[in-house]
Amino acid sequence: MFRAILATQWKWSRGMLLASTCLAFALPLLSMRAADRALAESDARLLLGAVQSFGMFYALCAALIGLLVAATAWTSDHSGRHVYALSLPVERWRYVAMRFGAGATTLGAPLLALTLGALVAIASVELPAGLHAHPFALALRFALAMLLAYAVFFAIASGTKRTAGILLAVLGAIILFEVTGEIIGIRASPFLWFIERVMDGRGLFGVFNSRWMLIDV
Amino acid sequence: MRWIFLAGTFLTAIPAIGRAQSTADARAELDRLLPEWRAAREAAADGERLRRRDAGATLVERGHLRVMADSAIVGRVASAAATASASLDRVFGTEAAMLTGYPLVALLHGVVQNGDSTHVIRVRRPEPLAGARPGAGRIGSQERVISLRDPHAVDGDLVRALEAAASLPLHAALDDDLRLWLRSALSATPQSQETLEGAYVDLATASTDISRRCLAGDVLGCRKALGLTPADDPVMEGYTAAQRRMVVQGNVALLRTPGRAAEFDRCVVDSEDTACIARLRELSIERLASSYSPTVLRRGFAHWAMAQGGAGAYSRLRASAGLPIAERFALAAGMPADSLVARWHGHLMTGRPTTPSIPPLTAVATLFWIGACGALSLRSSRWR
Amino acid sequence: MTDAIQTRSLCYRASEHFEVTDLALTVPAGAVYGFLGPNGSGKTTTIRLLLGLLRPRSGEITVLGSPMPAATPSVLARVGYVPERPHIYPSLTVAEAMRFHAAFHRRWDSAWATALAATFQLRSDARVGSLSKGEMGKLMMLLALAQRPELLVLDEPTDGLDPVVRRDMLESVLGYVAEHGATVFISSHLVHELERICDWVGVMDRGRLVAELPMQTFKDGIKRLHVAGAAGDMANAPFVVLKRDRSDAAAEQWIVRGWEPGMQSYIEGAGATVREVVDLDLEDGFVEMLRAARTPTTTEV
Repeated sequence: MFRAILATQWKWSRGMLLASTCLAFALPLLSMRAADRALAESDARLLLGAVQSFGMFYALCAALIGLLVAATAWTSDHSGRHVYALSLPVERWRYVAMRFGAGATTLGAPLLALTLGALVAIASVELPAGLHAHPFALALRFALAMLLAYAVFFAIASGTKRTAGILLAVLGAIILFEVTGEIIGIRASPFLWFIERVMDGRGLFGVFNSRWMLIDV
Repeated sequence: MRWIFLAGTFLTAIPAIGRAQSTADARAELDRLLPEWRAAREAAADGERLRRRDAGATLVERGHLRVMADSAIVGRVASAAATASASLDRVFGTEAAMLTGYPLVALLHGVVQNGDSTHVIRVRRPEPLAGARPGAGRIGSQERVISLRDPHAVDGDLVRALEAAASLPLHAALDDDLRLWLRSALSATPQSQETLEGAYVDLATASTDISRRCLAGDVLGCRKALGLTPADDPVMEGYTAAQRRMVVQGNVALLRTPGRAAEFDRCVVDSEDTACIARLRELSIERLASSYSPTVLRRGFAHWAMAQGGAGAYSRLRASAGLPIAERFALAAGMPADSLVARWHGHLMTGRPTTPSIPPLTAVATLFWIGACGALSLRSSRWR
Repeated sequence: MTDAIQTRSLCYRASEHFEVTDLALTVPAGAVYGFLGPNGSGKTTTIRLLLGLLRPRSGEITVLGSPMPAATPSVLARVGYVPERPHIYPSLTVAEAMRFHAAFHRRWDSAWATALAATFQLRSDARVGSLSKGEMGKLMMLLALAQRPELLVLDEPTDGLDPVVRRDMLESVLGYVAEHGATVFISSHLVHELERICDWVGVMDRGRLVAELPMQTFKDGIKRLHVAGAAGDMANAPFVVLKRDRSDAAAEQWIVRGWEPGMQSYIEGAGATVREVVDLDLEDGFVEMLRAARTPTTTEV
């Protein structure tokens, strides 16, 4: 059963996965390309600056891939109003778990590409003394970030329109409170509070909020 | 009293101006002193103010530490002073006894931050050093402001502020060689892992010949990085070509003199390294050393050496004035200079941060959130 | 096991304006049960309740001897379901859809599936999304049959299909039933289609089961009578009067259900005369039955 679900997941997301895989492979190479001058001058600080400036792209790439794979996991079921999935002789939780697992498995392709890209990128350069390459640490962070983004969007996509509406309404209420508060002079900022909690090390998106460094001390 | 302090501050600046190599250096030195002069003036004003509200202040005595504190915060200050006093004794040993003659003040002030009224504690010296030893040199007020916004951080901040403020007279009592080497007062605050990490990162990313050699464990390289042994050619050993160009570019006032403007431009505009080298050779050794022998490294070394030497280390350091700095630290630490540097290198290597690895807490939290989202998917009302 | 499907006091509220009320349905094992009803009468909702796709508000459902929705996965493994609207993933090819479906059904018969695909003239490389309505219907029927179900639940399977496709599909269903003795529960609003294949019929209207009886009884028992000199009360009659209209001053026209030849004597015994007994078309009977069900005064069911 899982293989059949995996096959459908692959079929639905292969185009996007191929593009993501290429992007994930290219990112580390591009980051080294951006650090050309620093490498030529063997300047560690310059190199770290260049590598760090690429950190955001890893995070964005992970989030984007997670979102797209999660979206493709449910698109076909949504279009058939889930009747087919519900009429299959398998427990609901098992079907959802297999769908989740299938999507998560396909994330292996961009992850592998990123790891390979990172290994190729560092093999092609000579690092200044004191600096070390961390391809596997970067890959681990990328994997967790991608999986997290996938899980979050998978959960949202699994929900009904009502659930999505509630989420949007809560977000809208926070923003409305923020705007109104600004006008009438209330200093409390729930939005800022929310963002701080979410991006905290233990927060939902904490994994995105740290150093994405292929090369570091 | 205030004017005597200001005049004293000015007079202590004169030798420093004398050491400057040129008019431009002297101007830069004066610019550097201006904030200290202003701070000194404020410190004097504070002293006056404190005297006027004497009835509202309480003298806190903990160990050798004396702090005049506002009554409203006296409990908090007393607790912080006890901790700070222990640290001061640990680092400076019997020398900390001199602090009894240099009381500090801790005042509660109402301020407006981002439109909100709040309070801060200001820790500073109340007035110019009374009874300072002859030739003690300048001591700025170095006021520390502690915000009360984060109640969990206040006590720690207060301890650090007292430790830093108390270290000023101890620093002033040092001989010129040591003060010059330390660059600023050695605080009694224990070196944190973050500071050690910072020192490691500084060294690891310097990319200079000196830093590379030190990083690789070469004792001579580390001696040069610490400023214990002068670099043979600081311009070449202490900088990469790119850094030379950046330093030249950052010292326009000093290095783009009318006669050497073309050379300056060749360095900055055409990236011609020979021109950069020639320009940099006009900078003082100490100015050059500030880059390849950073203060964080020196201070970390000094702290670590004191810790190796135990209770009498600081006294031995002070007492050995006239010897080379390396020998003085060796005496203080109770081991040969090269062994000391080699062991310090080993200690520094433990500061290598593990930043690229995902923190375990974040990894666990992420896995939890992934599981939670997965569970939420299973609980969707679509499946019920 | 005597009944393939049984419901007791089944209630489900779909919206403020529509609910299934007190549904008591019995589908004998091995029967071809036609589930009749106008659009919006609750046929699809009932089917979804039977298959565990919806949770009832109250009542009991037993399908193939197992309680629903508690035993949904094991029951669905024995049920072939063709829904009202296409539900198969449109991006798959026919072959992929068959493979996917097979992965979930242990009793999947690959050889027969291939044979059915050939019979239905389905190209294995055609995308499901690009299939015509008829081809889509055939594919859904193929998937339902090739899993060798004990019960086939077909929700308006031939709706909108041309006669040839309709005939192909129904023949394949009947062929399967004849060979395996499976039960078929087929919903439709096309009365004539069910007339040919069903041996039982249930009629739904406005969320209620209006009638449930053998098809033959239904077909034979619906009559139009021209009665002269009829008495006012026929409450104890052995047949059900669905409708009474006065055709002229002396005679009435009755629509009755459950009529049998000897019952003419009952009317004559009450002082009336049966002038004519007319056989009704099944569709007319169905329509009259629905009208009667919607008229509050009728003594129906």
